[in-house]
Amino acid sequence: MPVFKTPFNGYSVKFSPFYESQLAVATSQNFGILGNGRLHVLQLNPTITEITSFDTADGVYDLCWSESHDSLLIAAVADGSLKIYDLSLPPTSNPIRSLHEHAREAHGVDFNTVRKDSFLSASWDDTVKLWTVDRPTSVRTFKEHAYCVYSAAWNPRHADVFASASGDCTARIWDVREPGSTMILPAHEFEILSCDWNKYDDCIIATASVDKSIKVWDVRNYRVPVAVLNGHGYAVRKVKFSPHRMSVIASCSYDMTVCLWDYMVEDALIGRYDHHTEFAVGVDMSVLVEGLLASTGWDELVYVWQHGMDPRAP
Amino acid sequence: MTRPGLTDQFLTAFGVHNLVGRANSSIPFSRNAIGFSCALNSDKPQCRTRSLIFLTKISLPPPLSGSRANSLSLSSCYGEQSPTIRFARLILGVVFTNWNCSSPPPKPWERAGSASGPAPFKPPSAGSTSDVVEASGTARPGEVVSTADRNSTVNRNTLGRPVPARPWEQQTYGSTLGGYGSGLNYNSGYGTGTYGSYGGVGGSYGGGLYGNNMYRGGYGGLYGGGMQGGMYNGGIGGPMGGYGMGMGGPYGDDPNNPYGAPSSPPGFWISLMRVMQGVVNFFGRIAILIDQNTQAFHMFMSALLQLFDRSGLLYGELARFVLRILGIRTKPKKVHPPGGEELPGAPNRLGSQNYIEGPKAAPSGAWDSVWGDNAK
Repeated sequence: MPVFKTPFNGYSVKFSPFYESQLAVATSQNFGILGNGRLHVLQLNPTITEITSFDTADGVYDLCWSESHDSLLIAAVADGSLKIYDLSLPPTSNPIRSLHEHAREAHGVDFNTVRKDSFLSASWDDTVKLWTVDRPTSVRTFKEHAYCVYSAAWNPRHADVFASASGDCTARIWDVREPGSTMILPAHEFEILSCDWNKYDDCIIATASVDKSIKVWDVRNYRVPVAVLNGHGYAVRKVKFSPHRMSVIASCSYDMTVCLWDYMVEDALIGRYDHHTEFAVGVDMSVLVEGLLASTGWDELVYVWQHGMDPRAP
Repeated sequence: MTRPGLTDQFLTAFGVHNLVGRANSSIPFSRNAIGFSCALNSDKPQCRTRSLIFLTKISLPPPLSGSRANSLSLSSCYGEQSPTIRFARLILGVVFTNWNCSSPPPKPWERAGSASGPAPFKPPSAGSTSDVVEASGTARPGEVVSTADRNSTVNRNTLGRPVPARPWEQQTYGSTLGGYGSGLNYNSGYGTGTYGSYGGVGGSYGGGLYGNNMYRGGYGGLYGGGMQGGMYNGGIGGPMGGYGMGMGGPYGDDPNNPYGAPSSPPGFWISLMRVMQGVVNFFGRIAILIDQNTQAFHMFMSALLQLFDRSGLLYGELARFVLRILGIRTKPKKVHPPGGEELPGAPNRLGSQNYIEGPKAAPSGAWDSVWGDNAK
């Protein structure tokens, strides 16, 4: 699979849930510290070409595709705003909406895959906000974390349940109908950067932390982790459960590698890709093509490859 | 003729709604015309637009097809702008609500249940997320806006096909992938190119469609047509090249951009970042820099700090010396000539220099004598 070079440093990559050959990349200038951002929408066949791109006034840290509209993209921008883009409209009329409620950087977005009408945003102002596509303001604000919230993830089987990962060393499970969090997981000793739910077991959650480890938890018994995955040399930036295989996890780390794990087997590390020459900060697995992986990093490159192949192979 | 008339109106409304909010622009009419000609040309299935899909989705009485459809005149669609736009706005709520109600197929896990037994979560509630939250009473007062506002939906025009079932939702998902290449509604906004034939997509972006956009004008053409390799080698090679683009782009005068231009960072920061980028380029990769030099840098800085800490005296002396060199006198250096200012006839004889420098003390040290005459 070929490589795509972005002008800015990559931050996040997501496959479209509608078209197997589309993916979107969030990038930020100057390593996301300062400067503009850009959202690329890429086409895979046969080489990676750009369909369109959108510029933002600040870095883009994360994005998600809408589950109800094949052309809608939601971006988490470093100025705290969430911007909704419609690919079917020219860039001059985008974004179609800019939701600015977060006081600090927005660092994660996730679209509800069950009810398909709402999405979450995690922000460095310690809150998670719930939005629906039909309202110009947030529906709810979840403020309990004591430090930056880095990511939020919907449960793939429960429309009302989601998890959040925070720098206060806890992950929390929430129900949108409850006033507070329903579960507090003191998952790591250090900041937790990412979390994701098992797609086939709605009680299993994985957390990735600055302590270089990934831990897999069962929410019914969260005193001890189901598995601890060690192998990354630096903080683990993102963790993602496979949409196809129950026990497979993908992760990317500041040690510049992308790793694949099977948390149920003894030798959990089943794949290691060191194709990035800078911090690998974004990874995704295609929902529509089994084994298709995408990653991006600060080396301004987007790789798409099939598991088992060399990402750098032409 | 009442039914075609209704279709016509809906068609008009739904086509024109593309223009809602951007009625000042001169571009979209032609684009819409293209979209509609595609919509009416039902011979090419890959060329259908969302307008057509929309019409079938909400199942208007006459599904648009055949000669009936072709008999619709485009001029009647675009004849009067403002009423149609208003009409479009008025019906949007209905349209969108209708569409929103088309629910995806039931999920397998509703039949199968979870893999590991009962979950400790409350059973999911029915209704939309906002309704559920409202019903639970957990939203703060005023946090939930009234339902009347739903008419101003975000996405007035996009009507995607329903999302394909997730693999964990439906194990037979492979069969649902068959239709992907047809790219139903995706390309209508651009008018050309279909996603059924992926090769031709890129070309439509470079053709000046976005010519007024500084960011896109430059490389649209290069991205298309399989020119990727060459473009990357040529365009990105200089990593500094792209940095100026945040400054004062022509976004600002675009009346259709409701959220303003990407503002440029302050100049100081731009230059700082350029320096940083240069340093990174010089040394290679920032990760390596951080990786291998953290310890060395830390030790160097702490040693430096200790040095400053311990040698306050030397530091003060150095500072005074530097100040001297810069010509800032820290001590009075020279006395006025006696009676100089009492001379009534020559108040300015001493000039402003003495006034600025102030009275100077008698020569007090070697350095003072060194600098004293030279400074005059």
